Order: sequence, then C-alpha cells, then structure tokens
Amino acid sequence: MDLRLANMWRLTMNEKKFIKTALTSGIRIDGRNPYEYRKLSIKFGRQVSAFSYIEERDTHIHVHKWVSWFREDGSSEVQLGQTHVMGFVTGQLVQPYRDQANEGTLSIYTEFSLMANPSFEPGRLGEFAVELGRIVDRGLRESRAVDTESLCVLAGKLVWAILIDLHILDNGGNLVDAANIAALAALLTYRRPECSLGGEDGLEV
Amino acid sequence: MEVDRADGRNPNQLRPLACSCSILHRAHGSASWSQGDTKVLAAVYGPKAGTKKNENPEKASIEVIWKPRTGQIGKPEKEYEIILKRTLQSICILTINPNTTTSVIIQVVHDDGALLPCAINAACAALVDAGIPMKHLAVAICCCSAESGYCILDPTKLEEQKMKGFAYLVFPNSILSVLPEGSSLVQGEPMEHGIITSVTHGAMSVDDYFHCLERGRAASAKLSDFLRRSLQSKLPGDLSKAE
Repeated sequence: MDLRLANMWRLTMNEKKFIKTALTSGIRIDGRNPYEYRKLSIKFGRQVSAFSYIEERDTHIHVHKWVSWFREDGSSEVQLGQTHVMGFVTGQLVQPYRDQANEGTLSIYTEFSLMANPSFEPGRLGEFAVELGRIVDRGLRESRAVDTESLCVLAGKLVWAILIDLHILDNGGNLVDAANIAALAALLTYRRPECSLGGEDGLEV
Repeated sequence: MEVDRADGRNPNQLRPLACSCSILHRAHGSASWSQGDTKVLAAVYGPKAGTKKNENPEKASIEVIWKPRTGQIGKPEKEYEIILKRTLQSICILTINPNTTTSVIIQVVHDDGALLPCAINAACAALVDAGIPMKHLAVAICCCSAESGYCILDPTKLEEQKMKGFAYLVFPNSILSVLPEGSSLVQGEPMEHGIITSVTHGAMSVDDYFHCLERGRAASAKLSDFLRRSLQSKLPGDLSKAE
C-alpha cells in the first residue's frame, strides 16, 4: 500500500551529510573504530547463554570470554548491538529429490517481519528478505556446514529435511552477520530425533 | 477434589509470570510475557496513516499479525489473529485517532500451553509501552475442565491435551480506583465482573463452564496485580502525583 511507505523511517538530508562527513574523518556515529564490532550476545534454548566479545587488535580477531552451556532444542537468540534475530531449527522426514536420493535437504525460511521494520508488508517477501535468505543459505550449503549425506535414513525413500526459521525481531543494522550467527547457533544446538528402521519398511522415531 | 498435576501445582495455582517491556528498539512499544515455559513477544507500531479497504475510516483500526515459531502462517494463526484483534478493539479507544492503523505483531517464542492468553497479556503490555490510548487493560487466563468436573488453571501443553475441554477467558483489568466507590459500576456490578472474550475448545457442561468462569475471574485479580506492578515500575514517579 502506498500509504505505508509514508511511514518509513527516513533519514533527513542533514543527517546523511553529518554521517558522511564524520566517516570521511574516521569517526563513526556511535564512537566505534572502523573495524570494531558491537557487543554480541547469543542465547540458546530459553535459559542458557553464551557471551562473546569480538575485538579487532592488529588485524587479529580475538574472541573473549566464551562460556556456553547447550540446551538441545535447536533455538538461538542473537543480539548484535540493537539488532535482534532468533533462529529455530526443526526437522522432518520427507521423500528426497530424485537426483539426490541419498542426501537430506536444508532450507532456510527468513521472514523479515513487521516487527523489525515498519515499512514491510506481511505476506509478501521484500527483496532484501529474499537476498538475506539466499546469503545465509549459500553460506551454509556451500561451506558444507551441514553434512547432508548423514541426513539420509533410507536411500531414495526417506531423508531428513532440516528447516531453519529465522525471525528478524529488530533491525539495528548488519542483519547479514546476525542472521548467519543465529542460523549457525541454532544448528549447533539442534539434535535430530533418533530413528530406527523396523519391520519390512517401517520407521520408528 | 484433589488432583495431581505433573508439576506439583494445586488446581488454582498459576505458573511463574515474567513480563519485560521496551525490549525492541525499532518498535514503538514492545513487551515479552512468559507464563512458565510459554513465552510470547509482542511489538506495537503506533498509529500509521490510512486504514485498509474493509475498515471503517471513522475509527482507528488495529491490525494483528501472528507469527508462529516455525512454519508458514496457516488457518490456526489467522484464527488467533481475529480473536486478538476483536479483543484489542474492545479495549482500545478507537475514536481518538480516526483513519489510522495500529499494528500489533505477536511472535511465539515457545508454546507450552495457554498460548493465546499469554499473547493477549503480552499485547496489552506492549500497547501500554507504546502509549496507545485504552479504556482499561485486559488480563487473560486459561481454564481447563476435566471429566470429574474439577477445573484447573493455566495448564501446560500436556495438561491441555489430556483435558476434556478448556476455555480461554479474558477479563477487564481490575481498577485501582482514585474515585470514590460506586462510581465505576456498570449496571450495578463492578466492572471487573464483566468478560471480554471467551474461546472454548472441547466439550464441557454449562455448570463446568460457569465454574471455570468463577475460578478464572478470581485468578484474574492476581494477574491484574502483577500486570500493574510490572508496568508501574516503568512509569515516571510524578504521574501519580499529578492526579
């Protein structure tokens, strides 16, 4: 709806000019160095948390104070400064594609919800949401972060399909990083259910 | 009648409640409400210009978007959206900002029973956080009734599935009155005896239903207290002196 566009958060000309002149003199508007990260905090499950501080020192990136407990249900909540992303992982048994009969599938569903950005329309994926989904998808798939062959249960008949749901709660910038971290963190805590084959072709999970 | 609940609560006991406001930065108002393991996040975007085609332009309209934890939006989510929209429409003052749309977005973080009441409570807290004008707040509670006729409050997901029938009930918030007694009566009864919304699932007899209603109403007083305490800590101190 055209009326919605009027409610977008727009930068004024003065603000744009201010940010640009500050950047040319090496100052960022929140006082960080050009290579400095905001505070990152990752929560797993619903009760436990991991804390990490990423700092750039002489081109080496140090990760301080990493303490983590894992709760095995495949959910993560990532906060990078003001950006807030949640990831949930679920698995289902499905029939595989014909040309990849012994590999499981991994799919990412990103919804750039109205929560994060008032100009977004529900039910219709904006360009940026699609692009974000594709970046996370390609990153996980091509780096083989998930071993799809191990997701196979019965070659040609049943494989695990892993679905990662990314919910963008708050858009404070740098969604690409936050979404990738959330997807990976959720995958790390996910444990797929045990299933064993019984009978002639029966399945028990 | 004594009943053993899986987590050791007695029939009238609610799960531990937690509410936090202003957790999101872009949204005009936001709140997260959790009852035990059920956790819901609500965000509100304040009045935006224009209403949708089917809405009355003489009044403000409320739009609810329900986002499930995983999967696509389907019919159950649409049903929740409609119920929530009607509930919120009855508590907000719609004549103040005509021809505007207020959006409420509900994100389910975890579902362990009594999801809709949790969402209604979260939405109310988020609306207060955003400063949307309302007549009063609403508190929602879930009551189940079992075969032998006893009823339990605030069930977990397992309890909900085992029970014969359950009802989601929404009552108006009890009023902390600065006016003398008797001035807030509606047709001779105090306002908190009214009911805003009732959604029932399963089968229960009429007596069971009224029994649940009474228990729910009693518990809603506790819920209103909790809601008031958690929201009041966000208000600046001199507001109460201004009365």
